[in-house]
Amino acid sequence: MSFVKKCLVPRLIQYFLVTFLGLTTAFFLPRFLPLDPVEQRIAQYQAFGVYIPPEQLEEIMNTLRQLYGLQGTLWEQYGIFWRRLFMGDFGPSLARYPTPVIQLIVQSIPWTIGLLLLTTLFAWVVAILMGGVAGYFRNRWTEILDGIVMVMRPIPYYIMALLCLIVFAYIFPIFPLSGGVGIGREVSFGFDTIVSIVKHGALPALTLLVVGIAWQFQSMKLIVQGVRSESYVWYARAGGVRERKIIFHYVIRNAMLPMITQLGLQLGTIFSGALVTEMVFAYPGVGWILYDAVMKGDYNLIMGIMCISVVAVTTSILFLDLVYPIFDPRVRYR
Amino acid sequence: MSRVLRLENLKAFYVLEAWGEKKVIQAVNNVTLEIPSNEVYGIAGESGCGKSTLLRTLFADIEPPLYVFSGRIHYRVDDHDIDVLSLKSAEKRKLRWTYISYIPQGSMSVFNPVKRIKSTFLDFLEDHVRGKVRENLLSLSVEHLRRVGLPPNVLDVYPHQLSGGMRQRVAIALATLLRPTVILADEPTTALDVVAQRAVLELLREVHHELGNTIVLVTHDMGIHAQITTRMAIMYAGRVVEEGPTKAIFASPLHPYTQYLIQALPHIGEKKPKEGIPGSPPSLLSPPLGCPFHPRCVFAFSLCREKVPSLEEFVPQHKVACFSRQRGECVFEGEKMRRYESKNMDDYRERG
Repeated sequence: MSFVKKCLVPRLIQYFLVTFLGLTTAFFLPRFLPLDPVEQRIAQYQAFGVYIPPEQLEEIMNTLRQLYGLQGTLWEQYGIFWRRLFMGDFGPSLARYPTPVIQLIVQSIPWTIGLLLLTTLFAWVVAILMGGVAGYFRNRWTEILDGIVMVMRPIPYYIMALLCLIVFAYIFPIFPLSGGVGIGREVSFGFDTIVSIVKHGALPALTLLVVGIAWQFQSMKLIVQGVRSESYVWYARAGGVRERKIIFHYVIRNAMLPMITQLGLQLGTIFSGALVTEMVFAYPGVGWILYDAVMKGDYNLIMGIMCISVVAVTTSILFLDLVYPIFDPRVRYR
Repeated sequence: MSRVLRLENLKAFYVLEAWGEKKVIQAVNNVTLEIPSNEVYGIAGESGCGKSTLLRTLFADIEPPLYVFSGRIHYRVDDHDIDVLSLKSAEKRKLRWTYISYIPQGSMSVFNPVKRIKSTFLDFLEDHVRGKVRENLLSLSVEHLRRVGLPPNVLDVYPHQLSGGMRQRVAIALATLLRPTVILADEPTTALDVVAQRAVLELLREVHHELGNTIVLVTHDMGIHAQITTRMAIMYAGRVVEEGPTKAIFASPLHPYTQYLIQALPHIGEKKPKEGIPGSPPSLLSPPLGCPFHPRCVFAFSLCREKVPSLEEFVPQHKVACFSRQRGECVFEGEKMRRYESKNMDDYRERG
């Protein structure tokens, strides 16, 4: 009971407050821009030389305002925004009118999550194990590994991605150049489709893994080097506790704590996509449509993705906060 | 008198390399010691005199930057002398905790901060007691804690939930879990208030009483030596300068350095301000030629500046490394002084 009162309730209040503020920002920010999407739209039509009579213009503008959720005062719009939000409705996409924003997001989010969740988790686990072992033992092999990572990590990500693309898709055409699945293939759960998805995802995943493992490996290695000189590690060794147990239960276990925080924060940002990856590989994820929306001034779509991002980040932080004491008993619920 | 540990001409130096420059810190310099069984053996000396390093080498825990340059360390196991420095690490590991164990400094956190005390106990037990299931090991731990007078529920808490004194006592329980023949204690009372100190010392005494083993206690606190040790060695600048029964050392200290140490002890009713030793301890990087104490010694003469005195028996059981004492030339205040010291000692015994 005291857990609910002292810890859960304040955390939840904080969570909802932050989410509320984030969503409010996501709503107001586009509206403070010195652009009116309705007028932009009309100007676009008129630029094509379409003549719109003034009485019809007024009507069209009203219709567009209503469709975009832009009629009434700012506060009325804000009310409508919340009402729509609870029904999962962000309005129609302005660039791909009349496709609802939510539909675009739902279409692209599985790609992003599939790619980023897998690579993030995998890179995290591998980096912890590799960094843990490399930080604990110091011999020739770990020095070599360290050297390779040192060279890899400073390479800018887009260069790495382009390099992989050129080498593995152009010079040695092992993997397809772009897309999420073969052209013209229906997305289903057939064997061929899955093979195609894996093949298309391999290169983006590879680049994300290399970069993700490299920097997390380095931070894990440094943390481990700090932990291994802690007195409890020395004492366990002095007491004859087996080496394997010391590495996993004493060194890596304690060095993992900052890495858990890192993972939690990373998982939250997954939902806004990996812009550069999806650009380079033309991967149909959230990053790709976000880029598209920004270029085409698709306010509803930007807002939709922002909202989902905000909720994802705050939720993952809440989750982290609640789960962390399991890993570190010194951080107690207050 | 049987012995459990023997050191022969041990030289253990720290070698530090910085920017191509090699520095050698002579932490344990030519130490020869015999530690008898069933005693509480004290090692005293000021900070940086090499007493903790000596303890580490006794524990045969020699890791860079510490290197053993010469000498031997013998453990007496089942009436055989074992040269520990020539043992393989697996064999050394077998001796740890069953034959010899280590109690670290009070300020040192020896428990994994993210695990319950229980799991540390089990980890230490599991690798020494084969073929037993966890429940058995756990009940073994509970039983042991009860025996040394600690509540068994400390097993279920995390290290940060224990007070400093309690943590130190649990560490002692952990070190004595397998009833080792020798327990090395490195300043077990440092960073504790006097009440917790007393509890820790009481526990050590109880353990000693129960197991009938040898405890090697390192501390700079002469009061603690007076309270608990039966025999002691005084170290100065990496060397043992005096060695003998604690009572004899407190009653008639032979080495000038020991004299100063004992003079510095306060006793009840005394109003006179205490005098420090003139000068400062030598650097272990380049100890002075000859007796390391000679720059601060009022009895020093030409030989002291040239040769290092060896530790020799002066009166039965009581050894000293001092030329002027060995020659009989250094004369202290005499009988008056001696009475004062023994009174001082009784004060400490009573308070303990």
